[in-house]
Order: sequence, then structure tokens, then C-alpha cells
Amino acid sequence: MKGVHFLGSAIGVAAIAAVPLFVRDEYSLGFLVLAGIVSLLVTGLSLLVGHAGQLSLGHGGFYALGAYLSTILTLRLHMPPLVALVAAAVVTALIALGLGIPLLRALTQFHLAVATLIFGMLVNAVLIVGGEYTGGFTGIQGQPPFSIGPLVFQGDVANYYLVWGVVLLGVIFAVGLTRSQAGCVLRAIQGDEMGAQSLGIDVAWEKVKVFVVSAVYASVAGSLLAHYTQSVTPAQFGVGNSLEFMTMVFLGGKGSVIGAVIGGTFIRLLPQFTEFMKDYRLLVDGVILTGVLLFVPQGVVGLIAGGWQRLIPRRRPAAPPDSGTAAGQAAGGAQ
Amino acid sequence: MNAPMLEVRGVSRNFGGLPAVHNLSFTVLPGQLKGLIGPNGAGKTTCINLITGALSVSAGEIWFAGGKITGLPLHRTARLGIGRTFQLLRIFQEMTVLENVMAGCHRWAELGMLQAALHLPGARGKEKAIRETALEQIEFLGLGHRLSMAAGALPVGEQRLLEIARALAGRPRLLLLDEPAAGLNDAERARLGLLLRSLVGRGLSLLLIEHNMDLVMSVSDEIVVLNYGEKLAEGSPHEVRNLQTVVSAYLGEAGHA
Amino acid sequence: MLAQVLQFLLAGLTLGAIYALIAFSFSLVFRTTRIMNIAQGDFSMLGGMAAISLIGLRLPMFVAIPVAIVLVAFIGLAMERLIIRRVLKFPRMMIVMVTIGVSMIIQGSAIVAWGQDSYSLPHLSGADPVQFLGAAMLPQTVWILGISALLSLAFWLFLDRTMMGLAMRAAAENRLMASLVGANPARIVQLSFVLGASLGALAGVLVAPIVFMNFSVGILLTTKGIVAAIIGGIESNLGAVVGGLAVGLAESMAAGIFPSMYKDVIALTVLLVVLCAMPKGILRGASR
Repeated sequence: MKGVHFLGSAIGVAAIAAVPLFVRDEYSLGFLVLAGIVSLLVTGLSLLVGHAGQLSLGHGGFYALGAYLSTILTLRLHMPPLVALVAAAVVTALIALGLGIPLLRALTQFHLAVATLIFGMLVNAVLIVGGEYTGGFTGIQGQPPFSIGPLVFQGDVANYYLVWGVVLLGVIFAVGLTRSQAGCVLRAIQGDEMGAQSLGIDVAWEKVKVFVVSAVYASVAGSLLAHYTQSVTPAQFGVGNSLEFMTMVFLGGKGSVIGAVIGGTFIRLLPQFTEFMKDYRLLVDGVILTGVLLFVPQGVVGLIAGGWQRLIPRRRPAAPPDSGTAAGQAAGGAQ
Repeated sequence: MNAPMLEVRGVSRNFGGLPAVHNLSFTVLPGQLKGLIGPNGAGKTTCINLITGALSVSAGEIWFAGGKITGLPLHRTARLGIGRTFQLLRIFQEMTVLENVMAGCHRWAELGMLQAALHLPGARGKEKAIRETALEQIEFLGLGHRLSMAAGALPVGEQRLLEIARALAGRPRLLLLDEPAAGLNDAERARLGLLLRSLVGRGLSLLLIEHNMDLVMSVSDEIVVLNYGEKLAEGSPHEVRNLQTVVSAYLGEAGHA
Repeated sequence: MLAQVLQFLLAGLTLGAIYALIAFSFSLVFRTTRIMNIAQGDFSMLGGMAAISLIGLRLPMFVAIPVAIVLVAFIGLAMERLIIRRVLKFPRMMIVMVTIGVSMIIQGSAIVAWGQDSYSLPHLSGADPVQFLGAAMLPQTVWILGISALLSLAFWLFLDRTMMGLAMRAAAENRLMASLVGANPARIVQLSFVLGASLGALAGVLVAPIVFMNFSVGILLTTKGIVAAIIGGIESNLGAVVGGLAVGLAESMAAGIFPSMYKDVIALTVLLVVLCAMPKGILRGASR
């Protein structure tokens, strides 16, 4: 089985790398870059949702932190973009830690869900009234392109490879995490919290760790966004965006890292086809989210994996239907 | 060395004014199998919850291996070497048998996130040790043929064994078993009894809560009897069995039933 | 000076009463179905917007308002029948996400129907402030406080003192037992959603004259209602009232002290801090 997965991954990576050779027009390429950025964020979010079993309705807030902090550090303090990105990620991680520790002590997922909702709204509000620090409604423009040392990523093609390269790293880390002992621990927590505690697992702390990791993913995505679009405004980081990210997680398949990438890219597709129906975005997202939860709870990836399972019998009997984790394991490959 | 492995000293726990456990004291010596019995509602599971830290004590102290553990939270007492099984099974239903037991190794084999995700060399050694230990416990409990089966698909008897294997994977010094024989048939129960004795033979200390009198009487070195949250009697199975107070406590329960 | 404090006090109580109503509806649905309905505030938004539209169609206010409430009640019913019914057996996390999905649908529909602009409703009895102990008080405030108090009392009596209310709360604890003694759990869920929607719509209609209504008002109201319920303890009737008033007063005081530009930031920060500081979260005071 491992051979198949490796081959599949290699093909996937090759396909992604080859795209700019075939897709030449700026518009489509640009869209793919943005799709990649969002996929990065959603990958981290799916770790939180699928593997730590938590809901965050405010990841737009961490996204904004990465974007604005990178912007301010490179434009105002003239830091190199890479350093700024790391600095922004560290600050975001600390904020996530500060939020996570008190919130994840609580027994229900609802607590974190509401708190992150508030957090997302708060960041948005701060951006709007930030005056000269954040540029208010019009935001800040003129970010330099991202660069690592002398290597400057200017233009769509360069950014395409940069972003999807980072996505690849992000996916490798996430998959590596879920397949390791650490992933085992997370699944144990989802299985039975008290049982996990009785094994010495500090459930609250493990949840905090995943929360912080997911926030860092969002921050990095935000930094890349700022340098690519060279403009940040509060409108890009609202409640609707946060909820859209969650929709993407569930659409892709909440336990699956690959699903996150699919969900991220797919939903990003929609506004392009309905550009003239911009008003309908929230409605469409809502319909997709509700529809997926009601009818396809295992997500797109789970659907495919289910079909795959029917073709190739596995050693293990199928797990109960609405377990996104089992689908995720099947898709991401379990031991 | 005859210092007690577990010492419960004058422990009390109230729930809104009603004492679930009152002034309870007993010890478990190293390598001893102590039975804990009593009618329903006597406070046995509460007692275990107090020891592990799932519940906080209202009064009294609990000592483990020479250190005070009163007030420590659940995951901390587990880390110190106290394992437990649950009356209402708490296995990880959707994980395989192997994964369940591997999770039990967490106590001594924790991996940092970065280490784990990137499969760094240090991680690989640990993961190998984890797997080996898990396999060892699974074989010992006779579940080798169920390795990749989802835990939820196992019959109840094997699920109970799984929970024990998982607890053992953490290499505990003290194992608390809460009604491990519930739902087992005669043959399974007999095998469980032999298993428990062999664990003691390995040097483990056991505190066994059980309703089934035959099992408790046959495997325990000593027995503590609880009634209405208080210690009614303590002694060898033979001594306890014949005490009038114990008999009437049980009969009294049956009489009211 | 005293008059100013009184002014803020009244404003705080007014807002607080609205939040209390929302907290109450949220708590009602939770106590009878164990579902946390994030779309709760959107019912208020719909109530307000529907009333505004109906009045725009030249319907008199005493017709428009009840019709708006009934319409929203139907939407609550639809939500229950089409969606909630199917997800009752899902894990908690999924149910919450479904209510979020519904909230998005409601908000999205509102954008399509009314755009992103803000609207306002005429006051129930004129917009001229009345002199009250030196402070200017809107007549609307009297309506809000009065109706909220009446409703709170009515629901308290209903939930705590009638067989029906008891049955509803019991069904949440144990559906099987409840059905064995003759209660119909499915009907109870339905009733809860309809009541919750109606109550929410009423709150929306009451507050629409003094606040600008747009599609996004719902989620903010939900958040404040939830925090109010958390502060007061979600199982307690009095709790919703206390929590709501607390949030309203805090908001009003903050608006008084800080420049109005920072109103949202302060309000949200306070909400966030409250949530972080509550050790047991929303289940504090809950029986499970």
C-alpha cells in the first residue's frame, strides 16, 4: 500500500509542478497562487478540526495577523520578508498560546468555537480602527515581493512555485504528524478523553499545541498573501472568510490533510465562476457546508476513499460511517 | 523493601454534603493484589477516581511510592505509574487494537511534535520501542490475532483484555482495575484470574474492584470491604468472608432489592 | 452628571434586555434539546428585517410586527424539519457546524434579499424622548424592558412550573425515558425551535428601531447572547436575565468612557476576556 501512496504523491507533486507550463494566462495562474495560499491555511485548520476535534471560527484572525504583521515589519521596519514572516509567526503563536491555554481547559468544543469567533471579529475590528497603524478600511499597500536572501519572488510564476512549495512542506509536516505517535495521541483524545488521560496524556495541552500549530499555518499563509497581492485590507479578513475556511475543511474531509488542499482549492474556484454573483458567496458557502454535513460528512476525500475501499479490500473492517478520521486515515494512509 | 506502594490515609469525599467516601484508610504493598469489594454504591469507583485524581478529595491524603499524590490531576498520576481500567470501557473505538495499546506507551515514550512529524532519528528509535512493547502486551493478553482490528469491533471480553493491555503498555507500578470481569463468562473469568496473578508475579501491585466473589476471593492477597463509603473490614479473604458484618452488609442489600 | 450616568444606565438596561431575550431563547433551545444554536441571533435579524420590509409595503405596524414574527417562526420550523431533525444523532461538533451552516445560509439570503445596507424600523410609539429623572429616555426603552420582563416571567413559569415545560426539560436529559412517559421528544425539539425563533424575532423587532439592522447583525447578537448565557449560567432562567443585563451594561459603560469609534473593539475584547476567564465555560451550572 505504501508504494501506491508514494507513487500517487509523486504524480500529484509532478502535476502541480507542471501546471505553470500549461497555464500561461495571468488570471488563472494568479488564482492558483491564491488557491495555494488558502490551501495552506486550511491544511493547518484541518489538523485542528480533524485531529484535535476542535472548532475554530476565527482563523481569519490569525491569517490577518500574519498578513498585517509581515506588512508592517517589511514596510515600516524594513525587515527582510523571511525574517518578518518568522517573526509574525512567532507573535501569532504566542497569541494562540494565550488564547488556547485558558480556552482549551474547558470541557466542550463550543467554548473554543465561540471564543475564536469573537477573536476573529476582534482582529477585524482592530484593523478597521487602527488608524495610521493599520490603514483603516483602505489597509496598507505596496508590500515588497517575498524574497529569501537574493532570491526574489516576483510575478505569478515565481509566487506559484513559492506558495505551492510551502504547501508541500506544510502537507508533509501535517501528514507526518498524523501518522506518528503524536497523531496516535490525538486520535486517542478524540476516541475517549478520559481514557487518554489515564494513559498520562495531558489532553488540554495537546489540544493547545495543535491549536498553535494551526494558527502558525494561517499566519504563514497570511504573510505570503501580503507579499503576493501587495495589498492588505480588513475586508479580506472577516467572519465570512473564517467560516469559509471551515467550510473548506469539511468539504475536503475533516480528517484528511489532502482533503484540506482539495477543499481549499475547490471552494476558491467558486467565486471565480460566480464573480458576477459576489453577493451570493456567503449563501453558497452556507449551502455547501450544510449540504456536506448532512449528506457527505466524510467529505470529498472520504467519498473517493470509500470508492477506493470498495475496489481494493483492506485488512481492517470498515470503521463506522460518520468518522471523518477513518476516511482521513484511508486517504492519508494508515500504518 | 516493605514500604507501601499505595497509601490511602483518612480520605473523604463529599458530594454536596453527602459523603461518598468517609475516612477511608488502607494500603497496597508492592507485589500485592488487594481486592476492594462492597455492595453497590459503597464508593468503590469513587475511591479509584480519588486515587487517580479524576476526583479531588475533600479530606485526607493519598501517597504513592513514597510521594504524595493528593490533588494531582489524572494525567499526572498516570505519568507517575498508576494505570487503570474502567468499569464502563474507555477504549478508543475507532483505532486498531495495536494503536490502542501503542497509545498506552505514551507515559514513557513521549515524542515532541517536530520530532514525530519529521521522523527524526531519535523518534524512530522510540517508535520502534513503542511498537515492540505494544506487541508484547498484546501477545501476553492473547490478542495477537486481533492486531489490526478496530477496537470497537471486538467482543466485550476481548475489549476488557485490550484495556488491560493498554494500561500495561505504560509499564505501571500500580494497576487499578474497576470491575474487569463484568460481562465475562466463566472461562474468561478464570483466565483473567490467572492473568492477574501472573501480573503480581511480575512485580506489579494491583487494586482490584470486583463484584464477582469467586474471582476476588480466589486471587486476592488481602481484601478491603467498603460499605456506605466506610471501611467495614480488611484482611485475608478467609477472614473477611466469614465476618458477620460483611455478610449482613451484602444480605442487607439483597434484602432490600 | 447623574443624569448622564442614568442615561448610560438606561441604554445599558435596554440593550441588556435584548441580550437577555436572546440568551433566553438560546438557553431554551439548549435546555430542551442540548443543541447550541449559533443561528439564534439570525432569527432576530430576520425578525427585524422582515418587519422593516413589511412596513415598507405599507402595512401598519401592528400588523407587520406579528406577521414578521410568525414568518420567522416558520423559518425556525423549517430549520428544524429540514435540517435539525437529520442531525440529532450527530456528534456535538457536527451539530454546531450545521447551525453555523444555517446561519450562513440565512445571512447569505439576507444579502441577496436586502443587500449589505443597513435599515431601521420606526419606533413603536414615537421617537421623541421622554424626560425620566433628568435623563432622556426613549419610549422604545419602556416597551423593550416591559415586554422582556413579561416574557421572561412567562417563560420562567412555563419551563419551571408547567408539566409541558417539565417534559421539555426532561426530554433533553433522557429522550428514551421521556418518550416512555408519554412526552414526544420530536415534537419537543420542534416546539423549542419555533419558540426560540419567535422569541428571537421579537427581540429583533424590539431592537430594530434603536440599532441599525443589516445582514451581519445576527452573528454579533448571537455572540453576545451566548456570552450572556455563559455568565448567568445556561440552565438558569434568572441567569439569562442577569447575564444579558451585565453584558448590556458593560457595553454601555464602555461606550460612555471610550470614544465611540472603539465601541466594537472594547465590546469584543470584554467578551473574549470573559470567555477566557470562565473556568468551566458554558456548562457551568448545567446538570451535565
